[in-house]
Amino acid sequence: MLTRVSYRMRRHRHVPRALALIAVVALSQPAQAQEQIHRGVLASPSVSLRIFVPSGSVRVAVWSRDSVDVRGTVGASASVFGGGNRDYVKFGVEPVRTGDTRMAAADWVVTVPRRAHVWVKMTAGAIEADGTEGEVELYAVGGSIQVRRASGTTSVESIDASVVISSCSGDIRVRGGKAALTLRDVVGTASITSVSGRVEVRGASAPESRIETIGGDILIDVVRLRGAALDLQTHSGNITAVVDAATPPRLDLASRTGAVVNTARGGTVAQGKITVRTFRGGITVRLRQP
Amino acid sequence: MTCREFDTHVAAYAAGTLGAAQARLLEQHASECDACGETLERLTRRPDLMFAPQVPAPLRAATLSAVSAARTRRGRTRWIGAGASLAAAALLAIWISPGAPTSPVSAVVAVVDSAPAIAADPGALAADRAVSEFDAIDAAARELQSALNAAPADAELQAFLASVTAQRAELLRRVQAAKT
Repeated sequence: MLTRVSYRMRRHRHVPRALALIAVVALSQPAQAQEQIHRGVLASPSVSLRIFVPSGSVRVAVWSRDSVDVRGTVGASASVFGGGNRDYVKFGVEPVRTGDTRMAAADWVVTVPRRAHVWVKMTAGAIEADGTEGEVELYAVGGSIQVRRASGTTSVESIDASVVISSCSGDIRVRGGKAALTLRDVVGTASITSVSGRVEVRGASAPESRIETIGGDILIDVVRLRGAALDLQTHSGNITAVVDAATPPRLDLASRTGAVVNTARGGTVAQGKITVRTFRGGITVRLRQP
Repeated sequence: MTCREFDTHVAAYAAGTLGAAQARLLEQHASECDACGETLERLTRRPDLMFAPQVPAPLRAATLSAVSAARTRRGRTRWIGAGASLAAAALLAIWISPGAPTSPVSAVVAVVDSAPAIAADPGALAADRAVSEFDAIDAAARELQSALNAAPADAELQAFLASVTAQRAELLRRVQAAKT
C-alpha cells in the first residue's frame, strides 16, 4: 500500500514537471507560422534576377515563358521585399523587426526564363539550380549548393557549403572552403579551388579542368576523358586518379616529398592529359579494369 | 610595455584607435614576447575582421558580459581601457581560436565563441567558419616560404606559394562578400 501511494505521489509529482517541460519547449520554439507567397514579374528572356534569402532553401527552375515566378513560404519573422522590371528583378526576405538577430528564412521555388542571369545569395541554406542556360551565380556561407543540367556559365562560391555539380556543360567556376565539392558527368571547362575540402570529379566525362586545393584530397574517377586536360595541384592533399585501362591519358605526375604510385603507362594526349603537382601530397594512379 | 599592458591595449590596436606611440610600443613588445607576438600575428592575419564596421548587438552584449566576468575573475579592472573598442573585442572573440581562458582575450573568446548571435550575422558566420581554412592556408604558406628560403630560385616552389597566396586572397574576398 505504501509502495502504491508512494508510486502515485511520484507519478503526480511528474505531471507539473512534464507540463513545465512542455511549456519550456513550446516557449523556446519560435512561432512556426509561415506565410505563403506567390509573386510574378514580366521579364525579358535574359532578365537579371537577384535573390537574397539568408536561411531556408531556394530552388531555381527554368521555363520558356517571359516571366519570373517566385512562390513558396516565408518564415514568421521575415518579410518579403523586391520587385523589378523586364530586365532586372530582385526578391529577398529580411527580418520583420529591426534588430531581430534571427536569420530571415524562406523556402522558395523561383522559375525563370531559361537564359536568365540568376544570382542567389544565402547565408546558410540549400540552393538548387536546374536547367539554367544563362549565367548563374550562387553564394552560400554554409549549407549545400546543387547545380544540375546547367549549360551556361555557372559560378559557385561558399565557405563551407557542400557543392554538387552534375550533368552540366559550359563554364563552371567553384570556390569552396572546407566542404566537399563534387562534379559528376560534367563537360566543358571548370576552374575549381578548395582549401581543405575534398574535390571529386566522377562520371562518364570530365571538363577541361584546373583544380587546386591546399589540404583537400582530389579524386578523379572518370570513364573517358575524351581528350580533356586536367591540371591538378595541392599543397598537402592526396591526389588519386582512376583511369580507363583501354584509353589511358597522358600523365605528368610530380610530388616534391609525397609518394607517387602509378600503374598506368603509355597514355596519349588524344585520350586526355592529367597533370599533377603537389608539394607533399601523395599521388596514386590506378587503372580501371573493364 | 608589459604583457599586461599589451592585453590592455591590443583591442584598441585592433580597432585602429590606439595612438601611434602606444602602437609602436605594442608592436615592439610583440616582437620581443612570443605569446603576445603570436596574438598580434593572428590579429594582423585577419584585417577584414579587425576593421569591420558593424558588430551585431547580441555579440556585443555577449562580449560585454564576458568582459565583466573577466574583470571580476581576474581583478583586472583596466584590461580594456577607455580607448578599447567593444567592437574590436567582439571581433577578437570571433577570430581567435577557442581554448582554455589563459588571458582576458581568450576568456572573451570562450564565452562569445559559443554565442548563437554569431550565426545571425553573415559576415561573422563566414569569418567564424573560415578561421580553420585561413590557418590551413597560412601553415602551407609558411612551409613553402621556409622551403623557398633554402632554394630561392626554385620556380615550382614560387608557383606553389603564388597559388597559396591567391587562395588566401580569394577566401578573404568571399568572407567579405558574405557581409554585403
